[in-house]
Amino acid sequence: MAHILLPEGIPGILGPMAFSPETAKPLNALAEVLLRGSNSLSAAEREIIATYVSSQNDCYFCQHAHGAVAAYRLGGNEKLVNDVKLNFESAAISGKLKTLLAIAGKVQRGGKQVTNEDVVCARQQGATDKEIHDTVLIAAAFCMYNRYVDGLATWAPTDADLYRENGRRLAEEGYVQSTAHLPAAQKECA
Amino acid sequence: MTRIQKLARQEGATDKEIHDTVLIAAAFCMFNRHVDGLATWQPSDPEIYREIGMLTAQLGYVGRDYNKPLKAIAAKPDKVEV
Repeated sequence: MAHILLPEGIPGILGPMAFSPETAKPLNALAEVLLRGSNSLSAAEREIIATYVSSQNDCYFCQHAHGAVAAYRLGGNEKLVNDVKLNFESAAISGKLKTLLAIAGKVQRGGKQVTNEDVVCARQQGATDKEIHDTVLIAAAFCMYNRYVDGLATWAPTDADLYRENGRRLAEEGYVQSTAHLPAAQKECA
Repeated sequence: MTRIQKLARQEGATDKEIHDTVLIAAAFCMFNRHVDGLATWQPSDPEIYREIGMLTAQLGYVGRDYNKPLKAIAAKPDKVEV
């Protein structure tokens, strides 16, 4: 049961977003820029970073929601997404993405954990300053989203098909409109 | 009602206040990591923070011009640590 009265049957972050539309708007706008905006990192790579950080934060909803977007963008390759979560070093991803995931993992533990060596390694694999910046901010943002979801003890469904459908919808339609269908929560919570 | 909700309610906290507390804490887990994860320059002169505090209180977070140099830094260039 969630720590505050949220509308029934709305999973994960969507519950508090329905409860608080004025904060949902900038949260969704940030996700849209970070994960779907124009970028030299592919949308799948950025969703993989988001999924990995969410998994390190043990956030069930976020790691499955964004894992499903990543898998959809990878042509349904759920195995690769799971491989990254288990051990990205041995996963079939680029050397550059491995160095960026190492930075993202350090950011998850705390910003000061990132070392010059981590950044040098990423540059040696061809990462640009913008890609390093975006990796740090995606990892930091998911430390926020994960804590928002779990700090309020939101409901996370376990049906994998639900996440697959949601992943397809997020990949195709984006984050800005992702909460437009939610009911206005204030009345239900009164 | 969960234990957290019960305790907070006993002290007069509303669901919106609990929600906002969780989101402020979560957002600063993001801002802190953005700042430290990139190893940004963080001056130690309290005057600089007084000026930032005043500008933010007066102009807000969206209205502030972040490219405008701070007077406290311009006044004491020797204080700039790299």
